[in-house]
Amino acid sequence: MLILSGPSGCGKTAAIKLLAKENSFDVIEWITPVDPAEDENKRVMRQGDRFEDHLIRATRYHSVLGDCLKQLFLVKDIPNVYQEDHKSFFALLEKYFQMGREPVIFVFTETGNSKLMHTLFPPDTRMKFGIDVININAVTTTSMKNILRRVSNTLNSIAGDMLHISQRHIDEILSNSIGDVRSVVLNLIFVSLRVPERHVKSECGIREETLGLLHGVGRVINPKRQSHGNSFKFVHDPEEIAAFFQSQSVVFVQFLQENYLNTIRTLEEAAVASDILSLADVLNSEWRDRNLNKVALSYCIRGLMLTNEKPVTNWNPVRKPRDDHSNIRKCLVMAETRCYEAIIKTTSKETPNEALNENEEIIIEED
Amino acid sequence: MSLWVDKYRPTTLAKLDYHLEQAENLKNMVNKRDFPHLLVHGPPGAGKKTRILCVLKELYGVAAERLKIENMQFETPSKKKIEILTISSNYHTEINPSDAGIYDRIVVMELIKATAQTHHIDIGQREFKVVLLSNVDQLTRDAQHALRRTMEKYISTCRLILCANSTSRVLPAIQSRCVRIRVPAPTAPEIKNILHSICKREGLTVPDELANRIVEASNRNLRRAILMLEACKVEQYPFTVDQKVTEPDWQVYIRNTASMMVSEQSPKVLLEIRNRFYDLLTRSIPCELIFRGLLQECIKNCDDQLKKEIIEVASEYQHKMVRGSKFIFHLEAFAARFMTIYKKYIELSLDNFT
Repeated sequence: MLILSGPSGCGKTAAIKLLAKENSFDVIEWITPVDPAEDENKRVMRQGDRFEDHLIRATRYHSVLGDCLKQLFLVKDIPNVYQEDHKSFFALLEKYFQMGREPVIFVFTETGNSKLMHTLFPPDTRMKFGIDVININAVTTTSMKNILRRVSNTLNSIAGDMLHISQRHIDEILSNSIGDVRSVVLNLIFVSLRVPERHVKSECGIREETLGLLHGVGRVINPKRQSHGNSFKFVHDPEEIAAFFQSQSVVFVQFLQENYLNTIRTLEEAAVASDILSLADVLNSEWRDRNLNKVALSYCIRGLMLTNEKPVTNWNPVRKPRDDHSNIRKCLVMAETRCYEAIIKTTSKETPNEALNENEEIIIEED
Repeated sequence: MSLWVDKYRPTTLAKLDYHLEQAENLKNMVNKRDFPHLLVHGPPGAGKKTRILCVLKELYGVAAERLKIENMQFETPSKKKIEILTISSNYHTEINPSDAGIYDRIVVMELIKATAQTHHIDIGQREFKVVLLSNVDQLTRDAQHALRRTMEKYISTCRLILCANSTSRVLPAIQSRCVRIRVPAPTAPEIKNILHSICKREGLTVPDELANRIVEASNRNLRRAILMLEACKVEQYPFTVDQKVTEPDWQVYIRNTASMMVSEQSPKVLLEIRNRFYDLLTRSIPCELIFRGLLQECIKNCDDQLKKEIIEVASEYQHKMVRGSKFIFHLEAFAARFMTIYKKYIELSLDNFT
């Protein structure tokens, strides 16, 4: 009986299978069944019982199909019942060592802090039955490199019409490997699949630039231009900025409105800009068509960038849009009554202040 | 001590001071068994609310006057809780749905549903309850559409009385489902009579000139006139002919804002003006009022050509404000446009002069 442990994809199973083949062993693998089975008496069998049954039978009788004389039993996933019920597992081991004839190999994938191996095979049990443990370490980068080089040669020669593996691909894959041969080879094949030329510039693997809200606002209210002869271009493409904030069109437009005056030089520009914002708000408020939000945002960003020909270059912190108290009831009755109530009910001079305070009270808490 | 406005509010249709013919009509309507949905509209301070309360009293008797104030809770689909203040009697519920901001649709629907689903077993009473919605013109379109559907669904057990300043923001579909009652602002002599009668009941005498000035300052808004009268009384009694009539503070504020726009035009001033707009908005002044006040002040010292231009711009932004949702955007845009137009005008006239 042998225990193999190591991280996933370091070649535990492959090693066993290879060795078994060389030494002409038949490998019988236990795969935990997902559907409940019934025995001859039509009773539903427990998973543990089935495992036990399988273990004993498989090791006792030779396969009809196999041509090897020797057998090897491989357990890659232990039935879940034993995770809770250690005692019955020990009992099983006991039983097996009395009856079993063939070698059994348990394979444990060590993921993080899984303690399964140590709970099922505590050191004293291992001593008692003489179970060996082999730990397999993750594949190192250098050996991985060698593997890949060999794999790539083979692959290129046998599947050259489908894929082409270049050194660039290998380097890229290596940089992401964590010693997992299986996933590395899979990735390698995927990356180096021959694709039609026009798709070559694949987006895959390129990290997108993320643009913060404040940064975006800054780019819009401080547009930088590059002139090419008579025409000019913006350093930051308005459409690109718009694309970043599509989902928060309303907020972005609000931010722009709060801040655009900081960098505007002339009143005429301000008038045009405010007109643009006003229309953008109307578009944003139209709830029947969701797409209008995007139009509004794009219009607003382009408009503001174009309007502002020579932005004022002061240091201006980007301000948060103020609450325009849309949650206060805009009600003349209320305003009027409060205003005069303040005069009528108090004779002191501090009436305006008080009126304001009272008004504050009717703010309905939102958010 | 309640304000004079509340103290001398007529409580029955028979006690109303003006629009007597309309009062008669309302009374006839109540007495017939079939009572339709009502949409009461008219300028502020014309007595819409007074008439609605009178109608309620006519419908249900004194029981409609036993009011309790309650906080009702509503839950949005996103599990957000909204609390709305309601004033209700056994027979009616009054609510200002614009308190709920963008969630007014839920409030309107839930409230009507809740009211309509409970019958009262009071024999001899009307078989329907009344939901009174004020400031309907501030409802979002979403809510108005919802209202339209609910109106039809629960017509057997629930009647709506809607109260609005102008019908232009109320969906035509809703307008057509209601009997529209316009309450025009009282005329100057009517207001004056009321002021005199209040003073008589308070045991005061008010000089005719002062009453005239109050009427003039009140802008045919009866509530404001009565409030002004009471404020005058507190400030100085016995009344004198030339005593100060206190204007609402925001009017002064709007006027100052307008004069800022006239005196200097630059982006910096625009920024200051924006802050002043925010101030006004936090004081719960309706933005239509700000707009109008601003425009009236702005065009005072313009010639006719300029006036036309400015009013055109103003109407454009007013329209956008109605369609949009962020008032400050449009107020500011108007201010900016006015300032550019005015600046150009000044520069031109200076050129001509030299």
